[in-house]
Amino acid sequence: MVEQKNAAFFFNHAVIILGIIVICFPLWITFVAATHDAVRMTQAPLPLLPGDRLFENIHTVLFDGVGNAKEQPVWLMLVNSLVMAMSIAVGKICISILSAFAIVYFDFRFRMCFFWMIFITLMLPVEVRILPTYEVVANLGMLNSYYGLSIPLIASATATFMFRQVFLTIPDEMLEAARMDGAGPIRFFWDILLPMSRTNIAALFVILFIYGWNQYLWPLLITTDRDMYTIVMGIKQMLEAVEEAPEWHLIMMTALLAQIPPIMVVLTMQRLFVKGLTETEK
Amino acid sequence: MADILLEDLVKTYGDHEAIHRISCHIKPGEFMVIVGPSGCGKSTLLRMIAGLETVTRGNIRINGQCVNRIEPKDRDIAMVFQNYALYPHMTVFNNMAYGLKLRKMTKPEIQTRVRECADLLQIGHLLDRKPKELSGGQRQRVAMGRAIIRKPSVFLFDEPLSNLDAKLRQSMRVELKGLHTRLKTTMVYVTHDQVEAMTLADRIMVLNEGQIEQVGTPDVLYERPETIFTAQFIGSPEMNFIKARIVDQTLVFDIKDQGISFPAPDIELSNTENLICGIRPEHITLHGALDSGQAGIKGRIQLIERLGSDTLYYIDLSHDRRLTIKTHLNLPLQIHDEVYAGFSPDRFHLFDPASGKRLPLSEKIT
Ligand SMILES: Nc1ncnc2c1ncn2[C@@H]1O[C@H](COP(=O)(O)OP(=O)(O)OP(=O)(O)O)[C@@H](O)[C@H]1O
Ligand SMILES: [Mg+2]
Repeated sequence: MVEQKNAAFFFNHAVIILGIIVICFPLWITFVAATHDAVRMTQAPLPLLPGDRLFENIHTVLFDGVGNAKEQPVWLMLVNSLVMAMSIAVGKICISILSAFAIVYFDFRFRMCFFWMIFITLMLPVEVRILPTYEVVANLGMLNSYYGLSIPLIASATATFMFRQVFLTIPDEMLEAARMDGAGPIRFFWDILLPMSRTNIAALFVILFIYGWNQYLWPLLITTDRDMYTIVMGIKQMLEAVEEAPEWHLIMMTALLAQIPPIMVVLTMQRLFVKGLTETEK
Repeated sequence: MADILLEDLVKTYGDHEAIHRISCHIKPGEFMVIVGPSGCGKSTLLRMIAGLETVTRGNIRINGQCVNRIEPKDRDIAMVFQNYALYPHMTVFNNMAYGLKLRKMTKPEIQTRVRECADLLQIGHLLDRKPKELSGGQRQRVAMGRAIIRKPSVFLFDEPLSNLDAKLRQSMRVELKGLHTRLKTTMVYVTHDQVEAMTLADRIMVLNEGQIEQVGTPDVLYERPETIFTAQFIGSPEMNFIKARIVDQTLVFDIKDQGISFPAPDIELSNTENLICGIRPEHITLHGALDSGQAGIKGRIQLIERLGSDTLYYIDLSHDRRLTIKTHLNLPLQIHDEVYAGFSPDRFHLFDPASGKRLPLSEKIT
């Protein structure tokens, strides 16, 4: 019995430790690479311990740029990505919560029809409608702009469905009590509905922020101006240095920096995020 | 204080008619309790008065003014919901103050009102808590506070005590009654619990399948139920019903093998063959043996329930008929004992099974 327990214990822990290694080792290598200079990175064997050029590398990457994207310092790409991810997350949440509000609490003609139309956008992510969307964005003159980067990605109310479910779990009495208290629809939305779905909004924000941050194909398509490059596609561009070998230490540093904002978002929202995904009590 | 007048009120959902032509006058300051079984339309009726459901036909007048098309917030009413419906993200203070804030009341005024109201309900120490941090009874008080604080002219309650345990329900009942005597506001209270109805009400409206069976004071409902339904619904344990007929000016119980008859007055009845006689459990006496000259029905004790002050005996008569008897006497009887049930005819309620209505005859038996 005891032995069996021990065996299970070791097995479980072996799996956990193995998993951690699989995930953390590449991260470690990235970190180590980002602290060496260019010369060391071309010599075999690759280093396993950090070097001494961490801060210099950070400085170079942030302000001077890397590879054939030399004119664009990485801080600009970070800002671009941040603006895009933020607009997508905030925009999607705003649109979705408002449309869910309309669909759940108002009785208008063709209500279900609208709901299904919104629902269908779930099946049409930007990758599917990429050419027509490009055409539209180009005609509207939104290439190489933050609008072009974010609006087409906002324009699918994927989160409507989730907010609808959240609102449906809020008892009808809540609305009725508010009506008795004298709250109109807008008051009810601001004072009751929004605070009550706070955790769900936070959870959704985390998911959508990361979704926006990781966008690759769409920015690649519509940004030709190097000042509009986002970090995820920027890294790819750095690898395509023509005349020289890729500057691995700087690329690794960029990759490291690119991970920081999503991690920050997850960490700051962690408590709300978990609550939003698991909480059932209303 | 306000009076509420319901005039031929009808509510339909699609082609299902939930409320059929209800008319009733609720007097100023009255505590009116609406009772009925589940699904009979109690909540629907209350929500129509509140303005949360539209009126299909008929009128609702509050203080003489027709409110059919007036928003709930402008009807000068407040409602307490069954599951409290407190705003979970607001403190008790804010829950109570929210309605006042929307009415553009000044901060200091709100402060004093909330204090005043919290003292009345003894929740002064809870004002900074969220609803999640309260017990069921405390939540109920807050929900009432939220209604009281606006000083409306009508209170509506939809089964406000049904989520509480028996003991708390009782104490809240007493408090609610006290609150009514103090505030003297018109109250309409929905419940399916006839004990709550009997103890709280000035008058009770018995509702069945969207129709009024009877409106009256608790005493009238108990002493003179107008229909079989009311007779059955009011009073616990339920009234006993025995088939009877009138033969040669005597009332005869239709129990096989057992003859028992009572004098009946000589009144013309179209139907004397098929009657129902209702007798409350507390109006039947139980005997181990019959004295000479005493009439009774023989049966066997099937179950004894001791409630402390009273004891309930379930008597098995022949042929699947049962009687419930309630007595406060401590009788030396055991289960399966053979016993006799004795009746006093002046306590009988006679009904016509076809219409379900009370027969005028009932008063005249003796
Ligand atoms: N929104 C609705 N749509 C259709 N039918 C409804 C609706 N609301 C209530 N009903 C019907 O109206 C009838 C009365 O319902 P109501 O809620 O008033 O019952 P109730 O007396 O309050 O019952 P309970 O004691 O279970 O609360 C029921 O038959 C119910 O099915
Ligand atoms: Mg109900």
